[in-house]
Amino acid sequence: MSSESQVHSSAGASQSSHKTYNIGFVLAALLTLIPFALALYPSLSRSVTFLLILICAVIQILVHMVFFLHLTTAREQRWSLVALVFTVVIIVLLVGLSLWIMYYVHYNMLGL
Amino acid sequence: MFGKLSWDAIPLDEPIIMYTLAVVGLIGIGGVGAITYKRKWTYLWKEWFTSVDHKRIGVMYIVVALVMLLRGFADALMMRTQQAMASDGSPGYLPPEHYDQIFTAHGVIMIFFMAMPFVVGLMNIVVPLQIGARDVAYPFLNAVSFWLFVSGALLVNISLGIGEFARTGWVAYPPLSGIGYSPGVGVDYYIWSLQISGIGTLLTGLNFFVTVLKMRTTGMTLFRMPVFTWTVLCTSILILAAFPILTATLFMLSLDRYLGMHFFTNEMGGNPMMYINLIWAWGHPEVYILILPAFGIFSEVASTFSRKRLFGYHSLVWATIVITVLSFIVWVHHFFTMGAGPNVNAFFGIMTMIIAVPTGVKIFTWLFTMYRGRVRFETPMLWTVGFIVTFSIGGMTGVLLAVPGADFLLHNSLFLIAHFHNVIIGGAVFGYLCGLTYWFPKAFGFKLYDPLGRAAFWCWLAGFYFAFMPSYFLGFMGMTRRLNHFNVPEWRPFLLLEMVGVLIILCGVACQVMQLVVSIRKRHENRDHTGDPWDGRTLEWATASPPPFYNFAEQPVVHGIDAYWGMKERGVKTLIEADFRKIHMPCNTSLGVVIGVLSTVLGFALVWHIWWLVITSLLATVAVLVVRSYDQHTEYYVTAEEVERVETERRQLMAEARTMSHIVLNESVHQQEHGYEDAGSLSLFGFWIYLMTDCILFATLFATYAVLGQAVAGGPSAADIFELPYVLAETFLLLFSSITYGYAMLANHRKDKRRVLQWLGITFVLGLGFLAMEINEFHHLIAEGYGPQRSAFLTGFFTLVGTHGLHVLVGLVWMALLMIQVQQRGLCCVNSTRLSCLSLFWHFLDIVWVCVFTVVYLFGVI
Repeated sequence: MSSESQVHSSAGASQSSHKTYNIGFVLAALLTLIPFALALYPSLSRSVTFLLILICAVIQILVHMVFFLHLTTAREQRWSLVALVFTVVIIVLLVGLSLWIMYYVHYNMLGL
Repeated sequence: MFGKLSWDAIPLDEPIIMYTLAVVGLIGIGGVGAITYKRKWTYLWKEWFTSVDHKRIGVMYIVVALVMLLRGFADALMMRTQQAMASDGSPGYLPPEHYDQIFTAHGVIMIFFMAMPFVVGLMNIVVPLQIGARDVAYPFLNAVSFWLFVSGALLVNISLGIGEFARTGWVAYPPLSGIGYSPGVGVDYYIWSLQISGIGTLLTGLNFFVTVLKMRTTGMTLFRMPVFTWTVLCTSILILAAFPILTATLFMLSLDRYLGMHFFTNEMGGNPMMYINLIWAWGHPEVYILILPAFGIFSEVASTFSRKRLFGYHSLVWATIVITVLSFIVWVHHFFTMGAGPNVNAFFGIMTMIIAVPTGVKIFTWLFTMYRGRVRFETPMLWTVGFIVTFSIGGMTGVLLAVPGADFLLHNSLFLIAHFHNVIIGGAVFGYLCGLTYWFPKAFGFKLYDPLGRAAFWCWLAGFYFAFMPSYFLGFMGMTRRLNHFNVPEWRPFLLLEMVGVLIILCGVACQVMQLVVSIRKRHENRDHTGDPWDGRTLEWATASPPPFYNFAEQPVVHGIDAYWGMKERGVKTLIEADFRKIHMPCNTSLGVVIGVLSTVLGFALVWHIWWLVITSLLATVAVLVVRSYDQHTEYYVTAEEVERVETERRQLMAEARTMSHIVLNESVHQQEHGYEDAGSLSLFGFWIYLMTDCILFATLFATYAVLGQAVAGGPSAADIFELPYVLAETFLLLFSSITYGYAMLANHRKDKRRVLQWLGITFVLGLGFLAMEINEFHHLIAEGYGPQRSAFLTGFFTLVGTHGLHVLVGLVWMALLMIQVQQRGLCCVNSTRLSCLSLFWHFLDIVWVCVFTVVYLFGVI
């Protein structure tokens, strides 16, 4: 079936193997354990903990995308990647600007 | 048994409504009678209702849009009459509670049920033809979109006779739209009609995004696409990015109303201002969803009727792209007065002014296209020139309103009303009516009767200026919007003038109705056999009018912008009969109608709290989807002989019509046909795009959670109730299920059915375990009195985590069905694609969970 190869290259499974999934799993597990440990056994200052947890989450999302979703910069995946980047931009704008707006609304209502 | 529904729901004591219902009923009975008398039901059902042909669906969209235009316009007439009567202390003829429903219905109908379907209808008819495709990427989904939209429109109209409609204005700000101040069913009708039709719109956006990206014919690169197709692409992107925000926002509003939660209430830390923020984060892109395709229509028309290539094609395309992105960072100008302060207002004010720049670029592009062209003032061109003048005025008043200081004075005044009608009527509606006149002969094979079309244009244009220019003055004089009655004699002359304006527009609408009737009667005189009545430039004119259901006997090959014009210049000869080939097409299906009916029932049951019916119709909808997934005969081949018969017939008609230049395409090469052969990767790409919209839906929930997270209202905070080890265990269940699903995919790659089922089974159990743990956690919290009604924080927590859980549940049901199908039919191509789609979904849920445990649990506890 000619379409099989295309299906798999879009999902990216063709380049993947047990090894890819296993590496992804180990990385994801580590990036889960570290932030949970940081939160369960607070040893650093709050802002540093916050930042570390955030960094772990971002890296873990990237790990999922690379090792589980098999996103690459290959040509046949170009539009998938463009759509993803655009979505991230929109989410950053939506969430970031919303929080900015609501923060100032809150701030002004306190009468400061 | 029937929830809140009783005989009291029918407003027997309101004569205006009862008369309206009587008239509507009579028209309805008349219509049904006429169809029955002419024995057209079978024809309608077979050729239209069950059709998946994009052209037929497009026509049906526009028919419904025109009917809704009449309804919305009737509302406008009533409001204007009321305001003209109720000035000097007189109460007028509409009591406030009825008047409030009318202005809400007017806004909702005109935006969601007139403008949206009108533009989607035009997209449907034109875009596949312009890119040389046989149909849209997902024809069945297209039918579903249409019937979901009809379902929403039906709900709005049902509210007229059973119950009431919202009295809140078209964006339904809480706390007014909350259960406390709107205890009736009006807001529920509003919510569910928008949710159902909104899902339809989202699917349309997805469909056209993929269609434009993946279904273009050979040689049609992105920068050879007609401008209308470009604007449709950008509009689809806007739909995909903006409509999930609306869905999430209305979802939260309905949770407030149905389950007593506190997203947007005034109690327990709820924040109504977050609703205003979110609804406009959707609302502003929505404006551009409506206007961009209108810009595209004017571009096509200006170029065709000036007999010139469009001036500055590239700058026009880039202006469209810039508007697409900028439209997401201007939304605060709808609520400068909310109190976000000077920093925020200055930023959004400046961005709003900047977005006027690409729009200005477009105006100049059209002007320069006409400059030194041989302009033919056919009716579509009249609309274009009328638009350029009118829209420029509206645009300038918009820039004025973008100055926060000025907005503080004019906010919610009639100046604003004048502004947005100026851009929506003068921009979007003029554009759609222009497009209707321009593409009508393409869809039906005969032109609209011209004299009445011209009369309609002049009535609309003059009527518009009379009806809305006085509002600018009234706004400066301090008149606010949505007034039922007032006591300011100075306003009266202006309001009477506006009344006159509305009556002139009424003449325009009457001309259009007559035009349709006369055109159909005189269709043989205005018949167009050439397929190219306006001397067009783009590919839709290259095929017959109306086009055969397969659009092109042979998909054309494109060598540049204005592809068809180029072919005409090169003088293309007739196709040789032997070249005809069989064509792969989708089958008609009645499931679209069935889903439409079920969703109408679902919406109605939700409005009236008839829970058994809600559950039944939901299960029935799932059953329909399962039935569809078993249907293996969704596509068929049109034989080469059939194609030859249709094409020969057309050639004869053309030869009779005009002998000099009958142009039929033969510049096509036999190529791999787009669309159906690689259906697997097409489905997968579409599903990926759907996941992107789901991301935005979750982002909306996350933003709301972030705002409400500290609002504990005396209740427990995150640190008090979350147990991290428990969450860690949940997380690992999901992580394990991700890797086991991965193994299932690898087994699928090896075509090892047994292993696939094994790994899927393990994944299923792990997912079930996760869900059970989550339900257990929820159960404990609620038992301790920390349910979602306790505080805004808990409302946000339960909704965010619960929505993720709901996704997991959907994934599990899907997985179970898929396991059965793999068991029955093995790893055939379709099942393989479905496995890949579910794989994306499952890994996506894992990513969302990473965000959840980080933002909700970990940030909550530290």
